[in-house]
Amino acid sequence: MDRKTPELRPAINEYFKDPSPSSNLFDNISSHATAESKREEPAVCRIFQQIETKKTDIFDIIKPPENNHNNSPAFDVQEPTFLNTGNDNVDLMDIFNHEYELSSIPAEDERRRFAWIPSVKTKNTLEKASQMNHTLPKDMLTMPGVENVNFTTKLYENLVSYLGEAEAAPFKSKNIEKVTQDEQGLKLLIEDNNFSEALNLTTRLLGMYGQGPGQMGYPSKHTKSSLQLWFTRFALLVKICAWKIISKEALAWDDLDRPDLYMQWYKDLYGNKYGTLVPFSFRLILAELPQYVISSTNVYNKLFEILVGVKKIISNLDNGLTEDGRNVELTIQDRNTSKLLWYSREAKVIHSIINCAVNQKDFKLAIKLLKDLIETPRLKYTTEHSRSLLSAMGRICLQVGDLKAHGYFLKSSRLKPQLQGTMVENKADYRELIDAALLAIAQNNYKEAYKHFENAYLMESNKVMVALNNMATCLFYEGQLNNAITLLEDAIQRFPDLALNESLLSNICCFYQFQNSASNKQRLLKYHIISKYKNSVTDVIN
Amino acid sequence: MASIEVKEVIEHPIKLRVMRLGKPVMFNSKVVTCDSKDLPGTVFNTQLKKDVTALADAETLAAGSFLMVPNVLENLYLGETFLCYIYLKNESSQTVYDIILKAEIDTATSHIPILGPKAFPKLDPYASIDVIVKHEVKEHGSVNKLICQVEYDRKHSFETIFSYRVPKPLDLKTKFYNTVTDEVYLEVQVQNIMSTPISLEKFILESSVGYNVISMNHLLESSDNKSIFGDMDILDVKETRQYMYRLSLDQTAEKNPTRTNNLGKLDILWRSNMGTKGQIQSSPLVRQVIS
Repeated sequence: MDRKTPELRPAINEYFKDPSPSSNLFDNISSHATAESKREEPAVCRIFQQIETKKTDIFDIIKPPENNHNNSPAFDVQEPTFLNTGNDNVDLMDIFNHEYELSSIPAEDERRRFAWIPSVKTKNTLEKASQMNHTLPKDMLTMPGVENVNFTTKLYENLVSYLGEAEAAPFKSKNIEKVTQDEQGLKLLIEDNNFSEALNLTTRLLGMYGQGPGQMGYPSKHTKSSLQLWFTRFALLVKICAWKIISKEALAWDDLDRPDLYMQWYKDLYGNKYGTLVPFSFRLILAELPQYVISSTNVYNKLFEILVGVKKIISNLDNGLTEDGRNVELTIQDRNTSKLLWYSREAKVIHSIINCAVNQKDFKLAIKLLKDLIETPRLKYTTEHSRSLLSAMGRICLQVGDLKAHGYFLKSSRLKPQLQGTMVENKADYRELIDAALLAIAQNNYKEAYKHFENAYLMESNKVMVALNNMATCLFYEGQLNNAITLLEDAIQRFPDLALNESLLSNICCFYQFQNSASNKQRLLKYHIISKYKNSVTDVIN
Repeated sequence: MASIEVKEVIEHPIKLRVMRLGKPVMFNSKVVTCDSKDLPGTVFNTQLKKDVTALADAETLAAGSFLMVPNVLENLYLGETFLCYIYLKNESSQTVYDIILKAEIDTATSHIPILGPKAFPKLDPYASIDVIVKHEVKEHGSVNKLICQVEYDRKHSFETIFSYRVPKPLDLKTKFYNTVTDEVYLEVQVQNIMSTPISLEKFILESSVGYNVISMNHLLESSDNKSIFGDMDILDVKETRQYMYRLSLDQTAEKNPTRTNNLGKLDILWRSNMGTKGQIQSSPLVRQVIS
């Protein structure tokens, strides 16, 4: 693959010319797809988004108020209540029933976001901190340092060998030196999907805090900014699956509870503020790590510890205290906003545990937790979120071969907003089609599944790629390898930005490999596409 | 176990590839999010939102619907269905004529033809013949082979052998308790010895003629026959369940004097990933009569 193979060059163009007319099986698909460019972004579940606006529509999983504006048409009809729980006695935070003003005073906002309850030992140390002189024994300090790794992607180099420098030049990604050496520059690199260079920049920036390569185990000072840099670095390491590096760097953080990670420790810097320096997302990402590291003994420990912490905070808020249990007066607005934030964080932690359980094939745990979320919601969900939970449940059931999935898919269908006052035929929507197709596959009916996926695709939904990929998969299982390949190639050509993800490429590579292992023009295609649209797939460094 | 086995015989213009198929798997997206006030801002959330493998409207739950052909296959177990893609491609620029394709399963004890001989008059340059073969696995062991034979141009032929193992899926242990009233209590231990959790969809004791069977695996006080195993039918890896049955002589069938010590057999159906189905019947459960 490393050889320069000029005779292969024309092959690239082959892949990017118009689809051959012989592929008329998919002609109707193709013609339909041209309108795709107008697709709108899906309404996302921004459950962790910070409270910024004043209306209650900040969390999309929560039932929005009447003046809901930015949802796609399918969401326009409002379902009055969450229907299927049969749990009317659950007091779903009344505040959502009213037009409620959320509080967004910066000081309150900061207190909420960074609230965390220290362990008893740490709490004692922190309380004494004002009296005793301000030092800690070394074993109570958090002393992180980055691993000495230079992150590179080999995409460009690979491309040069196939295309020559001139043609490959546009694919050269932004260099670390081309951006400002600060958080802004870091953000730019991430937006550019240049995770390797972004990571290299975090190495540099953390070096300025005395937390650079080789500095693990040496005392250094923590600030909110340094912790944000660490979070960003860890998030990127997760994205590129650099598990060895991340597990080494994670060691220094332990359980994020040492006194030097609390604001109380730095009276000179943070005055009388209480809370942790650690972003909540950092806490969560560290807790999610053990499932990716083979040597882990208990992958759930840290996740459940966080869940316990969050539940304590919620109960403090319920009992008229601050998040961390101090007896300080909060305004009703402030308190309710905080409850919202922490309920949504609770949901997020539970989601993480479910994901971990599915990853571990602990389907019983996943199903139990998800059932809880569905049957006793703490927040008033949007209809779409409720339906998503039910679909997720069905899909998890299918992963363990439980055909009771059907029941959950049905429940999800029943929640579908009905067009009131019209006699329009109640056609299956995108979600129903996908769910029905998955069920058909479980019953070995790939033909029917294909039809459902195709109909889902024709709906011009936001997620055409799922439908197309799954159609190709069905074709393959029906013994139509060549058609499956044509379909995927066509899809990549039409929606390169959507199509380029590891999973789809893994499918197409599998098909290529089976079709003709001697030819490497397929792999060439892969490199070419990846570099052309250069995101989504990073050259994994392990 | 690699999912693809490629056997190439260079001198032949047509090449045969064989791939055992496992059910597709659902790809679960990797979830990385943050507060919009954290350093990365909304970038990660936007990326997740755009991720085609994510679950719309609940993106932080990794339960998408994106299907993947598995890179690593689960074992094939006794009682499951062997599914295989046979791909025969003409890799030359000459048309090949008179192709005959034949496939059979070769186990320790038997030869089972599962395809053909199937004749194709010709195969154009670069065209392919695609066949999916199925076979219910009724024998466990380590020496199972799929043998594919190809003949063409009335004079050439070659064959490809695809070997696979068939381990046992479940470990069954039974115990009989004879009573003075001529009733028999039967205890069945079933352990999942597969590498993946399964859903036990059916687990019943079919009694022989002359016996009545009462399943004792339901909660007594529940009205709707609630299983003592709860409402989840999942049997985790290495997990064991114990079933209990009471068998009594069928009084109505008393005219039939042929009383056998064969009490019946177990009929078990399970499913795993994406509905992969397996079904086995136990050998007859024979009561040991203490004389």
